[in-house]
Amino acid sequence: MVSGENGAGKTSMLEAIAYGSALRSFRNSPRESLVRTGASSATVRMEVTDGSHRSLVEIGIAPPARDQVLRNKQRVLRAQELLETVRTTIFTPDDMALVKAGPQERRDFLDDLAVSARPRLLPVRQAVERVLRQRNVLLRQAGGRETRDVAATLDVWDDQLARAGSELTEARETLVAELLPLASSAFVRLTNLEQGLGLEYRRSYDGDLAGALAARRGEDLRRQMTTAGPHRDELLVASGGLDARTRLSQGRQRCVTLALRLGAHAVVGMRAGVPPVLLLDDAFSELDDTTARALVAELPLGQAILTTAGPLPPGARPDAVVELRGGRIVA
Amino acid sequence: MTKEDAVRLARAIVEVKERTVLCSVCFNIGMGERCAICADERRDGSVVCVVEDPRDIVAVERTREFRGRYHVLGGALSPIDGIGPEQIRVRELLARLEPEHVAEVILCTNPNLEGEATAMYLARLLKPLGLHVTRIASGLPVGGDLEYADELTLGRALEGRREAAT
Repeated sequence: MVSGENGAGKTSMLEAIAYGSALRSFRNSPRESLVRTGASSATVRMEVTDGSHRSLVEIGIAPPARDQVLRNKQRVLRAQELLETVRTTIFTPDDMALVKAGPQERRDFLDDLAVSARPRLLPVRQAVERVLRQRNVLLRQAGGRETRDVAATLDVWDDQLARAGSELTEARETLVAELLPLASSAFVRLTNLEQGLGLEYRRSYDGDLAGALAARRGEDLRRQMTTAGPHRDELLVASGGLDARTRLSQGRQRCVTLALRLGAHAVVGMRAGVPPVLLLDDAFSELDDTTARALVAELPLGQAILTTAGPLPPGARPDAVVELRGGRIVA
Repeated sequence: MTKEDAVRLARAIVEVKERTVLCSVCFNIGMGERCAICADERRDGSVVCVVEDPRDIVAVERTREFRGRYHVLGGALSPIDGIGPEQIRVRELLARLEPEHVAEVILCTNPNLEGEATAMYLARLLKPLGLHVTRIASGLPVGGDLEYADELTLGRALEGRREAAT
């Protein structure tokens, strides 16, 4: 457990650990803001023990240069190698966005889960994001007119999007099927309700993506954006037939969020063979006593690091307590 | 760095700038109207290897596997960077095909998103002209381990599989 007053650096500590597994901030902080004001670079250094296997991970962050990543003093060229070394699951008070905000949050959740469970999907996810940017810029440059050059170049971007996009969509659908029973049972235990969670992945197109892109080309050119693809799909979450986003109470929504995170944690643990390190950033502050107790009981085996500005969550028995003040460990 | 070294370095940079030009045929870096490869009569002019950048020629030449000629596009399709077919030397490539009796074009662009898109664009343009168009294989690093290959690479390697040697 990490304790300390507000601004002591608790979240930064978790952010550093999470950065060491994904090379991105769970707060979506730009890399520049990860470096202390006035300093030119930041370093994350951690020792990871996995069974009898130990690794030393070191990351040098000095924007605008690319991160220097070393594992056991050897350069790591692909982020996915790091994902295979350290996995993390994170809970934060901002998590409510997962249920309350738009579909993008839930797509990101699924993609983070996909990459965590299968690091080899990282290049697929990156390809989808990049090809979409390329295609959308091309659609804007075309200004609604399909000249021969535009048609010929759209053809090749469509082909790239269809390949990577279909792969990502299929991976998401597989994960939703794996996640459903795990998240649903966690939800039942957290709420004491009889009804579990319903998850439905809804594609933004019928049939195959290549066909959908071809069929919608006219519309895409007119609207200057890509209207079919994984970036327009939705993950619908419901409980007892009620849409979690619009029809559930705040308290229930919080339990939906926690259940999705716990389910994702279990999926990654099963896929990877070892449970990820669980990072709980002030996750208990908004919970009532009953839910907090239920969450502590849910905390799976494995390592969990939690931060709090107040007292210990009810029922928690930490192995070690670290106190932070002014960005330093003081006890 | 001593002052003499600095002056020598500065002279070298100026000299490179003054003496190197782009080859008028393939757009490789050279010292004259035509680069050393285009000027070499022993090279097979019927096979053209299309690359994005002159540095890629150096890489392919190091393999000593290729005896044909090159064509440097000067980039890859990337709308984000404002690069469309007009900005890479596609027209110049088309103009070379007939006079040089080109029979095969090897698409040797980078195996990333933009390189793949460029290769596919060129393939669709060149194949209807009756040329033999090939793409360099993407696949597993020699001495590598299947278990550690990412799915894209492994997928490409499967797509590009060939008859086993016996």
